[in-house]
Amino acid sequence: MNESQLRQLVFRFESQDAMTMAETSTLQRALQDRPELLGEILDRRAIDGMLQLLAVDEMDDDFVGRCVSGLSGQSFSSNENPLAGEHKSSDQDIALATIARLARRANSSPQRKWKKIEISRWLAVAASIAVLLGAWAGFAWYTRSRIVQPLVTAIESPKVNDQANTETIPPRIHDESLTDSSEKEIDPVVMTTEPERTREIQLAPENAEHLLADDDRNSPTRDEVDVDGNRVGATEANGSAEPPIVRNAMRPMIAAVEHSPDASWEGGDPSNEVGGGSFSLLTGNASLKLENGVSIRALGPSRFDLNSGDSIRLESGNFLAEIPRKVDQFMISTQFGILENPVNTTIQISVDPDQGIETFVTRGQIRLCRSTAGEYPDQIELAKNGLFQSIVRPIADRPTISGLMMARGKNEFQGQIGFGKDAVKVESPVIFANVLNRINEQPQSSEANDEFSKNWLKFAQNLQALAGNSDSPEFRKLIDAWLGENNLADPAQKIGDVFENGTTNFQGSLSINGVERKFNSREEYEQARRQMFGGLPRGLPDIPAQNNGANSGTNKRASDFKGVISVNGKTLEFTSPDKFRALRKQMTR
Amino acid sequence: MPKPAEILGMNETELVGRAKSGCPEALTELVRKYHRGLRAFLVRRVGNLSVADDLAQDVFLAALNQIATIENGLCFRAWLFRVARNKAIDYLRRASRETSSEADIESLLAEESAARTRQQNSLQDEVVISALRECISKLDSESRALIDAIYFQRIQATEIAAASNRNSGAIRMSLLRIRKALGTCIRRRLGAEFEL
Repeated sequence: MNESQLRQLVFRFESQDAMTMAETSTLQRALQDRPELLGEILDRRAIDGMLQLLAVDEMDDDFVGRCVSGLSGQSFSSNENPLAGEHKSSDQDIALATIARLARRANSSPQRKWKKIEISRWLAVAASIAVLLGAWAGFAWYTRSRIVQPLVTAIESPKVNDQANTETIPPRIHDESLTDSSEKEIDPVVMTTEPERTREIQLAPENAEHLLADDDRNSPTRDEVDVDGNRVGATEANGSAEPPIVRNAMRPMIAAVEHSPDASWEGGDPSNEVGGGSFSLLTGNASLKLENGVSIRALGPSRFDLNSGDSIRLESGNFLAEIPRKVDQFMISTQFGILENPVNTTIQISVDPDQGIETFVTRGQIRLCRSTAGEYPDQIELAKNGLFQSIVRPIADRPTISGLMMARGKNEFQGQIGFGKDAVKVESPVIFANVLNRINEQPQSSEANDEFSKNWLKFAQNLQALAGNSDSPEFRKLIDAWLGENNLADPAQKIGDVFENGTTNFQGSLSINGVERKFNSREEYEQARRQMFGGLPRGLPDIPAQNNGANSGTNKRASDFKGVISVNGKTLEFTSPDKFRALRKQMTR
Repeated sequence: MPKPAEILGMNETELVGRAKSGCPEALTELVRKYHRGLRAFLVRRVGNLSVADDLAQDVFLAALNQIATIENGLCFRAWLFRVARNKAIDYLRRASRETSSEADIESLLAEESAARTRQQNSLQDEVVISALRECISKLDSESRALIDAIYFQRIQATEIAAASNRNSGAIRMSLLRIRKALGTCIRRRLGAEFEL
């Protein structure tokens, strides 16, 4: 049975057409041999079920009622189709009319007909050219090897002749490739003469692909985009590119497992070498050494799925992953975020199914994006810009804010609230912390239009509009207004607390007469201040050095002294050392 | 069904506490809170909405019967989905034991689906549904119209075939292709390794 006949049987099975016993058993055997076909059928069933659910979700809210009636022992009607019956609703009429119109347009569209003719014509031209090229190549090779070469060798001396023959006769593989290419060129012609039905049964990815609109078809997948957003030649995630679904027992060995003597596993200890699958380490610790050199250490209790030699999925628990430099690509996925390309990296990861993930990069760098990504703007680079630690928190039941991501390090803080088009990056840890606290205070709600979500959307949209100009008064006004609307404290009021107890990073900058020092801790701030003032005694009219505080610079008059101090988003200006000292007390109170 | 004022604003722990003490409104609220996610979870595993709804009701019934035994501090959602996962696997096992010749293929599918269910994560179901919504909006107008007619308007394939001057086999084939395209699109959004 060839592929198209098999696909036809699958189609008939899925369409619930009557099948003979022989056909059924043929299909059954084929499915046993081809687990990927089973997977395809299951995928389509899952989509079918979810489409049914979507439709019911949008038009039928009485499931809860029926369910609760059922729980209390009352009888309830089955989920009858409210639209079933002799008379069609106006919506149904509209739907049918739409389909009829689209079908007419598709059939009568002159462009489409022209396109078909054009495609056939070009295929014929391409096939002819290919055949001609093949014939020419064959003729050229034959002429060279059988006619020209013997003539040349005949002219040359007998000694050289032997040597030349062995060197110039093309290897036999050339002959075979020529035959192959000739055969391949004939394929398009055969395709165009196939019966319409046979071609329709082909469920090749390209057939399905054309159903997607251009913008989605052309959008780069995560695999296709490198760190800088450039497209790279990775494979697309289509049906044919997926690995077949293979049971653990059938998988090749991909990792060696070692565990401590006190380790215990759910379902018994795994063998020393495993071919993948789900693992649940209850106690103790275990180490997985993958063939590519990647090492994953798990501390019980932890759960993870090992699906291939170049990726692992962590479900819960604490892990330490070491990915050596020689590994080209390795992906660590969790339900909250994906860690991509962690090459030459050592990273600690904690996964809590309810709380999210926390990561800490101790070596190398990674890219962190949401688990549902494929969208470049979601990601945060860790350990590239001085960010080492990240936390990703889910926000359940919030339609407009689907997650929070926070990354921090010695030199930088980056908070991201929300994902996708509503995502906003906040550079102030205080604002981020305020928003986080505010969100956590909100009762979980599935209502799409709750007040907070609406405010959030407004805030996010406005913030997007002001992106890149976060120092503007409009931005400040917007932040203040939003914080006020949502009963949030002004970030400046909390700076003292932050400064004292270090609940979030203390960071900011001190700029005097154009010389700027950034700081990320109280110690660094003190150091920056000392450098800037160069041990300036109180009340001295001199001003700090122009360049480096350690070097002597050009002294200016006291009236020229001016600067700005910015701590965690709060910025204040000063025009004299005394004014600065007063502000400093205020800022660090 | 209006919510009683006392139920409004209760978190999961409080609702479970009230439900334990026999408050039907609290249980109703828990059903309301989780039924969408639970149905999405089940329909993705069994591929059939009516079966999924039956199983969802079984799950809630189990919750009603066993809610008194749930330990304080235990995450109700996680417990509920663990029960749902077991129900789905039980159903698929039962389905895989069918003996008629046509059901042999069904039994293969059920076995495979049960294997998948053991590995899948319940928290991603709502993400998948949301990705499906996005993917539907990316379909071309003809495919979208077909999805609307078949699933949302519940029009038979034969009627659609008559309206569009095609045979019903072609309509069914189009649907198959659309489902495949949607699967491809969802994977593109959720990652190539993602299993539907």
